Amino acid sequence: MILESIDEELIQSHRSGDNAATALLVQRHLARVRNFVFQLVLNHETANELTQEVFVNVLRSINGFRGESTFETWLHRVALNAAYKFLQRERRYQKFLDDDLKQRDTATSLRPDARLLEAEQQVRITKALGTLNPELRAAIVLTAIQGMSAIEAAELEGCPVGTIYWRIHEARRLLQTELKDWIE
Amino acid sequence: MNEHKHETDNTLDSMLQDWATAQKITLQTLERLQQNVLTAVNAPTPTSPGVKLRVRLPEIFAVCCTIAALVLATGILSINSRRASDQQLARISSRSQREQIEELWSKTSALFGSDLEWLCDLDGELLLGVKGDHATESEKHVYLNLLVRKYDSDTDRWVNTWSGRIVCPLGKPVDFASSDNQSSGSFWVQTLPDGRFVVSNWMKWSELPQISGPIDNQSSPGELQIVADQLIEGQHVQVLQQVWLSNRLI
Repeated sequence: MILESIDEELIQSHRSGDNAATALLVQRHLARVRNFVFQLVLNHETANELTQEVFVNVLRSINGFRGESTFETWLHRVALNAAYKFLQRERRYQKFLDDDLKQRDTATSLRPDARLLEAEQQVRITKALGTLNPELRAAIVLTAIQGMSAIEAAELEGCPVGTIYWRIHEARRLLQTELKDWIE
Repeated sequence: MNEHKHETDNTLDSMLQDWATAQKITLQTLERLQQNVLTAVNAPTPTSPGVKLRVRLPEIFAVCCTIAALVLATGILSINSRRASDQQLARISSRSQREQIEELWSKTSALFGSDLEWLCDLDGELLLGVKGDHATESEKHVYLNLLVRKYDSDTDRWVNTWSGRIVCPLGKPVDFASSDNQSSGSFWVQTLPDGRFVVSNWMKWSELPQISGPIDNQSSPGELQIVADQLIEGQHVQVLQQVWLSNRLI
């Protein structure tokens, strides 16, 4: 509640042209939103670009924020939509994923064995998430990683809670199949 | 069974959380991203000058033509306003505009005969390409309208920053480059069995918001399409494209 109140104050100051407030507002939320976007698009460079786009759009259209949800929820909703739009429009996420994985393979090839094993697991998880369609991926990211309840995730997605439960179930089933060597 | 399911769920969740932690943005990248966001939010949107292009191709002799007067006389360069609303955008892609570029091609072809291979009206500068030794006769030509625009948040309007109209042979790439290498690009268009086009553009402008890279897409004849929609250096930039064949006006 205190945090939300801080956001409200910063938004008011941002509206009145206080650059320091804008910087604080960005600083408070940037990392979390950017990590969330990465978990959806699975490419670091794309995540950076989309996150920048999200913040610019949100801060420039801040007058449209009526406080019906928290600022953080609003940001996540805009970020989710931006990621969906990117994934659906470009239909290139597999290509980006492959490119990113190639970079990672190179980057981790000189690490010690223990780190190599860990790095390999990272790559496998990224690949496994990449096999999910955007809706299933978002459902598991929102709940298992972002820590939202199914109700909160449904509110963010704008769909029935039952749909979210099904998506989580399906995402888990597919991920457990993809990662069975690591889970067992 | 349920217990087993819960265990695997927990293991999976734990793996995902570890993965998310390992993939977190680094402090250095975060600082850079934060700076980019703040610069983009606070920066006013400048009006970019047009690009001056000259063709430089070894195989195709390109002429920066002196028939600009002819072009102006035919009213071809009517897209001289840098500011355009969506209404103006509709006008740019209208049938009359398409007919004008076809007329320009027709008149220029008449001047140069069958040696003329392609034509580019790049933001008001007319470039012509003449066939090389291996060119074939009676090839079909395809027409492209290209438009780069950026969003001006101050006026809440899209501002046109560059427009190009290209006539090129179907299935053959057309390349251009400015003499100072500040701008370059290529176009290649081919038809699909269903009548649509496959269009491959590669464009780079250094004076405009820096767009660079391939744009591959499929397009219906005459359809005005947003083929790139990006945030570049804090500016929301779109590239719009329209493609058609001369013998089937929409």
